[in-house]
Amino acid sequence: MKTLSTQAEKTERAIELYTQLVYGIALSQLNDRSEADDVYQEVFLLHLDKAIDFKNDEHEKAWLIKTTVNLCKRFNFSPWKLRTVPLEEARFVPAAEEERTVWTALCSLKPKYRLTVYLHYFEGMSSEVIARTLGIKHDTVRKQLQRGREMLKVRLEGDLYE
Amino acid sequence: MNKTFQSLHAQMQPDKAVKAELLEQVRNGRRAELSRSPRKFAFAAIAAALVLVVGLTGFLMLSKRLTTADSLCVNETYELHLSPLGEGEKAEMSQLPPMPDFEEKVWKNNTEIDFEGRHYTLADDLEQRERLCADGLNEADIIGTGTVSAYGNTYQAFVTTVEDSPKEQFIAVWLRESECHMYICLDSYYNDSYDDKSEKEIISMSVSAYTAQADNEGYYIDPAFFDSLNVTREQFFGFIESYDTISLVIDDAQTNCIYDGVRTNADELGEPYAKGTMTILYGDDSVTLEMQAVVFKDGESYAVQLQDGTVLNFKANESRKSVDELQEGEFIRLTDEVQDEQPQKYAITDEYRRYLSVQLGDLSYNLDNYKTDFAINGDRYTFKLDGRTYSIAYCRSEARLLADEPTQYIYKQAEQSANFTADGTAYRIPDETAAAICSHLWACENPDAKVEINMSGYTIGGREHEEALSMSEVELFNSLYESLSTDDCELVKTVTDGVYPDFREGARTIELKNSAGEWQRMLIAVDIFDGGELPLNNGMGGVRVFDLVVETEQGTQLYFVGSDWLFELEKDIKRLVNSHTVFSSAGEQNDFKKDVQLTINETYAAGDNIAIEDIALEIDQMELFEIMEGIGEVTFEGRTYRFTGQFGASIARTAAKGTVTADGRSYAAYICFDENGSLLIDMHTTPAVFAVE
Repeated sequence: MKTLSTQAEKTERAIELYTQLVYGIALSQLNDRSEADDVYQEVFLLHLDKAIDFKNDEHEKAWLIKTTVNLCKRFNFSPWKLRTVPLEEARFVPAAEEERTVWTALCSLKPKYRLTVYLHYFEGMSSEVIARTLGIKHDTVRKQLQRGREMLKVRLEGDLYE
Repeated sequence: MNKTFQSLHAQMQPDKAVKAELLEQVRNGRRAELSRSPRKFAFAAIAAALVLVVGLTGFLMLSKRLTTADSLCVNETYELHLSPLGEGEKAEMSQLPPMPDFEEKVWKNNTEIDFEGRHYTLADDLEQRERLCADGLNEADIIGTGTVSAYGNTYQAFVTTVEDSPKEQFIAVWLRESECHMYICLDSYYNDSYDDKSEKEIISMSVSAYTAQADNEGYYIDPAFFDSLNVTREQFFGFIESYDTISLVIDDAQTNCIYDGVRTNADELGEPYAKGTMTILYGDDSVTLEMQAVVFKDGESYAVQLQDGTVLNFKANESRKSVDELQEGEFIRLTDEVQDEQPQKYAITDEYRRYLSVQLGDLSYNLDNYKTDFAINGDRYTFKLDGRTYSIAYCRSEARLLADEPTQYIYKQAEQSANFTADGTAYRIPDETAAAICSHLWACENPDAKVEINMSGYTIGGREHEEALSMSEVELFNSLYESLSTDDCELVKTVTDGVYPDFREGARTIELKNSAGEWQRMLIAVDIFDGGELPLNNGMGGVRVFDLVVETEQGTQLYFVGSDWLFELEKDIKRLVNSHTVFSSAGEQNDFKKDVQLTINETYAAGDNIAIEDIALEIDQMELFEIMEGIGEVTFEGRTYRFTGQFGASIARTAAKGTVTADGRSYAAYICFDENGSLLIDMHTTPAVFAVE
């Protein structure tokens, strides 16, 4: 593998590898494309600024996930957000009707359930890896996944859940 | 559902212009002001970007080599991500295999994998693996698929069963059609490596027999039988005498019987009623032993002859009758104690019936994977719901409630899985599922338990808030304690000398007093964002401090907790107080909630073009949430709407203007509707969503 000498190269590599991960988390937490764009850019600019010497790829990925989640929280509680009505065109609107229904149900979950459901079902991360990444216990992740599934099932009223 | 998730995932890409802008910033090594939303300029490019992404992916698919990190979830560690195929789903093999060096790293980095909730270890049986590889990957045998990625390269992986072995024991993983590796599951039930019997503790016993086998002559007596076992005769009788109850499963129907001593006059047993096996589950690894068992029946009593010739007497448990007589929506709690009286029946309330139905429905999808030959032992609930009769092991979430160390220890020892039966068939289900089911039954069983709560240090509605109230323990259990027992709390240590770190300014206190008069005082020490430090300074865990201190009779317990947990806990506490006031009698209402009210001052006709004034409102999201919860429901234009807990929707119509009064402060509020007919309350913030009841 090519040795990455500069931080810019390292960040660019991270962007190439983790764009969908970071953007997907941001979008699932904020449900607003323009806000997700902001968080997406901010996360990688922090990556550039902080120039952290990551122990390994897992560490880097965990940092990106945690940072994305934290930025989303701050975004959600920012005065700007609290005083702004989201524009309709900024909403993420999935292409198909069924996807829109599932997306709406997903967005109705509490952020922590939404996050674990997203990481597990969208990013394919095992509950154990999620636990390690987020720094919480494996049982907690399993419980959050279970509850997330239950709530999704209730919201989707059975049929779609299948 | 998985396909829907995958399709959604594929659409979740940033705007191409946004990514290009970011890359330019990074390449220039500087951080200029990036354009702020809304990025309308970018929307025109979305279609082109999607076409490009789709086209690129298609091209790469055609070349059968997926190499865009941008379009895939990329993992740098060569980690296999495997998931089972859904019902009726077929795997598609549409790629070239990885290069040998890549493949070698995959196997090297995946000596252990997870699949369908089980943990597997790489364990090639060379002869069997050769046979599998010679036969090649057959699409019909595929039970799961997945991916493995590294440095932008992603390849498909396939999971198959291994001939003559259940998937719970062996699976094979393939990255190419002609080569696989075998994995073994070392869990609970299939491990047959017996050793060091003196350290093995028996966990459960059960007898499974069939009347059709009663004439089978292939049974023999071996007086030295226990000598060859890894369980001693003393251990065997120690268990059965202390637990009393054993499950007899005859012709797949379960009967719980009480041990009634060893029979001395074995000659008078008569003809066998059924023959089968006694299975003993023992040891930390849940190893199993089997021995032959011959069942004799005399009225409602049974005798079981073991392989060493010992005959055990059993009498039917009276509670069995109660189980048989259970009506839909009823449950009983059985205990290990000998029961000469029928146990009390309880009703599952409508609310919990709904929860239980959902949980059982969800559980049913995986139930086959949890099947075991063991019948359940120990305390349990038995209930009838949706036409089926279920039994479940003792409620360990109740053990969590007690929170003393010995009980916690017991909980931890037993947390892997729980015993469960559905219409007599036995399963070992995930513990958290069992805990959830038990907590609902426990709530139905203890509707009158009360707990007192004192809170201080909280600011609700902009005012310092001190609260003392009494509420149902069930309410508490289902909200606050549920949050407390999510295992997000990591107990660092318990100190008994009363010396622990001072709290920072702003510490909040909750005191809990349960019906037994025991107090717990919890002090929450940090602001929610303090725990959310961005860099993970200590590697993976983030910045940790003692976030929570709980004073118990056993000492002062210091916990590390996550910022999410604190946030959720606080929300739960406030929600609990709010909902308590809403539904409690007038005399118990607290100051905050009774002040929350919505008054409508002016209504607008449809078609009026009402612009919502732009006012900077000094109210944080938490207070806003509490106010909306305080409002609870709104009746407008003849329909009643209830707060969904959600914020954020597009206003399609502004219907009225009013005032929200909360804790002595008034706020202007607009009643609006979105295009779906949900009622929105806009207080110059993100609108709160109320759905029609």
